[in-house]
Amino acid sequence: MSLMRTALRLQAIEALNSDPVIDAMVQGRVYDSRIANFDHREPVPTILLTSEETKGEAWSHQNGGAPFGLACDLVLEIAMNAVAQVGVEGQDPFEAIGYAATDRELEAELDLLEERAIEILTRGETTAAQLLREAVVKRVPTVACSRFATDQTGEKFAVHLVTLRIELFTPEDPDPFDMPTGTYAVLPQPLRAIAEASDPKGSVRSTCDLLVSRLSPVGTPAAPMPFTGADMILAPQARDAGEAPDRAADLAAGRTFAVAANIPA
Amino acid sequence: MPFEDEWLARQGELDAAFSEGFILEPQAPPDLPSRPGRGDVNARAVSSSARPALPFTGTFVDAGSTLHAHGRRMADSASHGIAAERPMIDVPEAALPQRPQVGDIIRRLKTGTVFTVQAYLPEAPVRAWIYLAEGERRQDEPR
Repeated sequence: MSLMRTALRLQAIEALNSDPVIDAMVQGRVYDSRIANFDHREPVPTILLTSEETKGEAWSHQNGGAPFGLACDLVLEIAMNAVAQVGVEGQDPFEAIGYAATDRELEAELDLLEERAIEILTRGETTAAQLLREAVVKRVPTVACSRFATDQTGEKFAVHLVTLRIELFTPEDPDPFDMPTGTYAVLPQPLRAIAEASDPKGSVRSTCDLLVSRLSPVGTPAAPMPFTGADMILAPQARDAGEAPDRAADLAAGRTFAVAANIPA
Repeated sequence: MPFEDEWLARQGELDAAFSEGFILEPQAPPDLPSRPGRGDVNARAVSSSARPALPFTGTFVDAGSTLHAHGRRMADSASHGIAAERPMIDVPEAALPQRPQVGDIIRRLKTGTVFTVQAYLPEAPVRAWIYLAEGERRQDEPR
């Protein structure tokens, strides 16, 4: 259910960071659900990724309840500010490399980041993006982008707010004869797949470890005992239809015998 | 002498009278295990390797912290300020050669209280305010 959103955020960030253009420009500053304000001296561009409104209809309209076919909004805030080129007569112009200097450049770079982000999340071919599509994202039916810009803080700052509507895979109920095993068995799919594929020393893994430790009272689902046969006790005798069976009398009369019908090993 | 010059000239005396000791413990995202040198912004912050811990002196300001949400016969220490401004430290800018960054930890030596930096705002020509958030756990303390 809602842990599908966790899986979505964790893997979407891995996918975004796996894009070479985003990696070079954003340098890993893709924040998961960041709350704190931005310090105006923070390096830019940054991407702030949140999962927002989630809605779903029950697969069974008659029974209701889980599982639901869920869809949620994945929101990317791609933020950047313009650093003006400082030209002083007689000196080489100072320019922070990789930063936009004009409004036109700023907007173009934001468009570029938006283009790459949507591309990698919906059609990316990196390992992380493939896992995102295979395990978490079923379809992306709509996309919306709105723009916000200000110079009130004394610098030109622009944000592209990209909202991707994400239809999430509904994982199948686990097969009782093929129960998951291992450290992450207690996590529901697709988070389990994400956890198992993550870097063992990374923060995706440590977040999953935190969830596993919180879930530890639930215990790993146990596999059912395999069927090996049945034991029966018979007491053949003539009885009236209205007469209740009497086990003590059967034992006293020595009428009982046991049958074991076992599957041969 | 204009007020501003007088004020600047007296900064040392004011600091000597009101300031107390703090330690700034810079925090930074840990490196991605697969990419040394690239920080993982979504991981728990660790002590910064690039910026060492720095003792400094400043004036702790906790205006309005006396207005507390509590019933009768409750100590102020058992409740939180309800209408208080954020705790702040007034520092001479020279006391901190590197600006504290959001998320850095500041320890108030007088009480041992731990704060995290929420903002750093230069104000007068040579002064700055460090806005703090109180009561955050250290990463290494048990939950």
